[in-house]
Amino acid sequence: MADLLQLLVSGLSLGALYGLIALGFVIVFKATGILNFSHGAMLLLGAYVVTRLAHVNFLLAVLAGIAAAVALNLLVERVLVRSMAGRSALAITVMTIGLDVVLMTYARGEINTRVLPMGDPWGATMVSIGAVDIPLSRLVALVVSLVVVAAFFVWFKRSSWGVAFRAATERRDVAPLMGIRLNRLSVVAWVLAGVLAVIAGVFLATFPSSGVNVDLSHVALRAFPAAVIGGLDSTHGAIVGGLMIGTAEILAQGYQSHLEFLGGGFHEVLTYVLMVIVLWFKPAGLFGTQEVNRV
Amino acid sequence: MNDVSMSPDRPALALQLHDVDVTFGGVRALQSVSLDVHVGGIHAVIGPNGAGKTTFFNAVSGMVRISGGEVLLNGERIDGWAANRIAAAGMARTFQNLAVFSNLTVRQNLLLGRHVQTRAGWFSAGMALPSARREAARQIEHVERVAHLVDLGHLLDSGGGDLSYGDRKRVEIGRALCMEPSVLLLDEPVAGMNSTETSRMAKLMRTIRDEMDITVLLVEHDMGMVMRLADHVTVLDFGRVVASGPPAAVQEDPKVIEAYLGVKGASDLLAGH
Ligand SMILES: Nc1ncnc2c1ncn2[C@@H]1O[C@H](COP(=O)(O)OP(=O)(O)OP(=O)(O)O)[C@@H](O)[C@H]1O
Ligand SMILES: [Mg+2]
Repeated sequence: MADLLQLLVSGLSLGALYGLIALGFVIVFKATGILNFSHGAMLLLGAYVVTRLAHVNFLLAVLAGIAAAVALNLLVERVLVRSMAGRSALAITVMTIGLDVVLMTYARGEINTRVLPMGDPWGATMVSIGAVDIPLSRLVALVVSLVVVAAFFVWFKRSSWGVAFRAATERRDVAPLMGIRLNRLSVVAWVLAGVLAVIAGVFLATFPSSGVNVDLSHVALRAFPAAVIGGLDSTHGAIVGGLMIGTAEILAQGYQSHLEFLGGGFHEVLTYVLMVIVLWFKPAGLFGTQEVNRV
Repeated sequence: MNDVSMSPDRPALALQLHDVDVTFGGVRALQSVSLDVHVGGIHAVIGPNGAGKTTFFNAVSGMVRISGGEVLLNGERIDGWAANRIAAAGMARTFQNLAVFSNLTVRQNLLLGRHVQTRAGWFSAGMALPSARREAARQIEHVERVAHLVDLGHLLDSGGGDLSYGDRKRVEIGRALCMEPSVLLLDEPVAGMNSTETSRMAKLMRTIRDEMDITVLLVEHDMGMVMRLADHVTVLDFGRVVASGPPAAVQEDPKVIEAYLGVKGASDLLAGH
């Protein structure tokens, strides 16, 4: 029982991080119709910047990492998205794959085969809650994610932005006639995506992970199925999808010995199995309105 | 009707087109269309199917680029402007093929129309600032007033996707009115409506013209309605203006009858029977 609780807390913590990453995917998709496949590379570069500066001051390093990713995303938004205005979202989606290759080549050059410690203040500290022992870093990750997500949804619901985003998602041609500036929505979306990615990136590389290596971008890509499961155009779907995938992944890992019959490393493909099952019954994802094949 | 042409600070022309061309690939959907729309009336644009009426609306509202000519809104050139800028300058429209946001409620659809009029702006609106909250309350109040005007008061919390055809048409008009435009483009507002709904809509259009100080451009196939409502009628055929003038004169114009020839009972249609 304690095992299960422990796994659940870890799973939710990881899932909340996947949720943050998926939320970034979804906001950019809602605002622009683009699937941003360079998202994982941005996350990695932001986290890398944090590791370089963490010895000075961890909080400042995180802010610098966020600033770096946001600046990069703004550059991408301006150069790739704006200058391609009028082209199909699919064309730009393909270009983000190219961008990912470029960014990952740079990251590989910088990081190489090293594992750079995050330099966070929590280290490997464990805390006991009742019978459950859990790394402090997982608890902090969970709390920070929840606060960030809550802040996002308050802003999204209370301000007119949420309505504008939904309108732009449904009819990009009609929304501007209500005075909605698609360019502004796009800028805000890319900025938010950068912020969310780096926050997630930092916690993906804290204990029990040993730090930032180039594979961090692959971990981030596991959040893509989370967005698909929740529905590519659904903000709360991203969070639900993230929590589902994170929890499933950790549980499968924890009970690996019972799942041997499915083959070793089952937890790695579980995400995709879940995605296929959900899409089978709900082609637009759990809360989405647009089917993936219409992208 | 207000005698707006007397006020010195407003140009007497709400909308002007000079030699406007629109082409789609090889199709010349509009060919040197020139038109003056006077402030404060109902100006009808009629013509057979495919004449270019919707394209005309798309061109002036910024949804389609014109390939030649000029468009002026209240004396200011707006061709080439982005659609959101034209909206902010005072133009609103409805769509022949409905464009109600189905994933928003009626209230939210109407609130979208308030965007161009929201002074607190996008950023502060999300904060709990008292000024932003007052602003939000004002917007909601405005939306509710408009909703009652267009008979949607009881449907404010319904989803845009759950509405009947006629209700959707009313949401579009309500949303456009929320923008407090100076020029309102209505693309076939009574198509698919029953006779009760149609006469209510006609009444609403008169209210819009007479009490709200809005110049209305109306595309409509219901000729009876056009002849009764419009102060001025322009006839398009194959992307060209073939006639323009008071309804009675246009009705008798041989070029207009010719444009409608091939349409069974063209003269009956034009007479509005
Ligand atoms: N986006 C577009 N791409 C290509 N051709 C178009 C486009 N929009 C309109 N057209 C063409 O332009 C011409 C005018 O069409 P438009 O929709 O303006 O006619 P209309 O007068 O509104 O007709 P209706 O009474 O049927 O609504 C038609 O030949 C149409 O096929
Ligand atoms: Mg039309």
